[in-house]
Amino acid sequence: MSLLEVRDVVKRFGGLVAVNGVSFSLEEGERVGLIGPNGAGKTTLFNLISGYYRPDRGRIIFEGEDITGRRPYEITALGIGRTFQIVRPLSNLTVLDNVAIGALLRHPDVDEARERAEEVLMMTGLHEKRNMRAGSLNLPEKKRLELSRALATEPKLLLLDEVVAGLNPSEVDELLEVLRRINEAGVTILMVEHVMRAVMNISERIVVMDYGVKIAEGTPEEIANDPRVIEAYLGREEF
Amino acid sequence: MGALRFIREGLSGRRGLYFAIISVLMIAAPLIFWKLDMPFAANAMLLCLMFSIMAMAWNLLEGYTGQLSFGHAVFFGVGAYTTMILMLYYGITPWVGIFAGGLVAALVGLALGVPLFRLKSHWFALATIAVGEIFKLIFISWDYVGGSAGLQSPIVPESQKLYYLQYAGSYVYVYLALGFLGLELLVMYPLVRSRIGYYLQAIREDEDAAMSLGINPFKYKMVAMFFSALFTGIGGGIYTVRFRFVDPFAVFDLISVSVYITIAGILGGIYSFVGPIVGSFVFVPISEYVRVYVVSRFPRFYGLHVFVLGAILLIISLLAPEGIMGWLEKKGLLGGGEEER
Repeated sequence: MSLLEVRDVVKRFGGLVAVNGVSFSLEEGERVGLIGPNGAGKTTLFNLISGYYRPDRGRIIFEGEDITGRRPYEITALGIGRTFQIVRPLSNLTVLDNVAIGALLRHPDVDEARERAEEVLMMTGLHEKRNMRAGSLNLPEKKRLELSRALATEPKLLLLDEVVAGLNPSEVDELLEVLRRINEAGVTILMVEHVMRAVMNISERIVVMDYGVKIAEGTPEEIANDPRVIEAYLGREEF
Repeated sequence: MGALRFIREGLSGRRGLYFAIISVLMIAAPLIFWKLDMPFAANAMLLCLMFSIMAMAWNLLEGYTGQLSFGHAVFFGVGAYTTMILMLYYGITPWVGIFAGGLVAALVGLALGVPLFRLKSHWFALATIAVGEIFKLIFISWDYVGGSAGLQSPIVPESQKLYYLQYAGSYVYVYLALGFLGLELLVMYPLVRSRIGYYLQAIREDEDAAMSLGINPFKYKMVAMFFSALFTGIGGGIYTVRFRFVDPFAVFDLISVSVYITIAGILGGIYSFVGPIVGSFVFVPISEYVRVYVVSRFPRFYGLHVFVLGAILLIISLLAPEGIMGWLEKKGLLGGGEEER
């Protein structure tokens, strides 16, 4: 049984079909990249899986259970954590409180949740900033906060929407190392990423979308050499 | 129990000392007012305490949850009427009636929360104004509750004073209100320090982010509404026993109830636990003093006191836009590093 199965999902916004019949599945413990040009429907797909949008057609199955149309907080409780591409820090709270609120889901005791949050921040490298207002972090730090918070909910599946964007090359390597460790601890990762070096480096498998449709799927090498993918990114050569 | 631990922590160090000093002053004040025969001061203190109770309750929704209500007169009025009706029609002591008033207000709050919490930000605020006016109109035309004339409880013989909580002046009621404020602190402080308090703040900051952390915003807004309406209703019950008269124009008034609660809360500082109490103790005396002084001094200028009050509020809000507690914190006068006093 797959951990997550997306079956033929469709999402329309007025006349625009943002996601048009996409199917794929994730096995437990995998690291999968989701790539595609701007407007391909990647973030929409994330919003469908995490319950922020309801699909117009198709089903989403998590651990054998149909979660189509479930509310976002129910889906988080079932074990799917997510980050937001456009960061959403709880700005007036401290970094530690942001993460502790995530940890409260599995640890209702406040002290326990705060301890758990400290551990998570240690791992994601934000521990030194734990007493700062979340709103005062810079963008790469806010992205790390997104990751920390999602991680604190102790997900089985982590949906990462461009957490690497905006980091310098050494920071990218650092964060990829963190993601590897998270994955080794048993968390399945699906990540949307524009930084090709990062996504090629960490993904075991890559799904490519363009204009709301899945156009390719395979290992990083297969994807890098796939003519349809090259065409989607660079355009067709006209002779 | 967890609640006791939060209270112990809350009263540790300098905060505990402040709390002890203020408590002693509060308990001594009515005795001093009584000895010096200062009924006006005692009444002002009672109003300060009533608004403290209600502004703190209101702030659970606004400061913690980010839901701005201009309709708390609904809960105040429902609490006041419930206490009055139980006393007048059923002979039930207000010792029970005040709690019943709070409970009925809380249930009304839950019923209103179902449609109101479908609305966001300013739309929510506008709808609370509408609900307040609707309640006023309902009570004006409802004969059972006395219609526009309202309800008055008769003077009772000496032997029934305690049962009907009927005493001359405000002195006794100051202690009653102090007791309820104490009860509110005992409930609210552990509440905001618990998981619920964190969840409410997450909802205030960003509902979508809160949902991604497993929080059901509607459910926790309803929890906040319950406690907010409960203690505002209790405020209404205290009003009933003190003034022995409720009428829809007074208890459901948009300005002198709903907006005054809002002013007291904002003036004190919505991001501070005790801010609304501080705000009430600043705003209510100013408002009372201005009303009595300006009106007696300039009887021909009708409404001048409202103008003066508005000018004072304008000046305070310019000097301390984050509220009095926010201002004190910025000036480092709260002993620094002590979050959420």
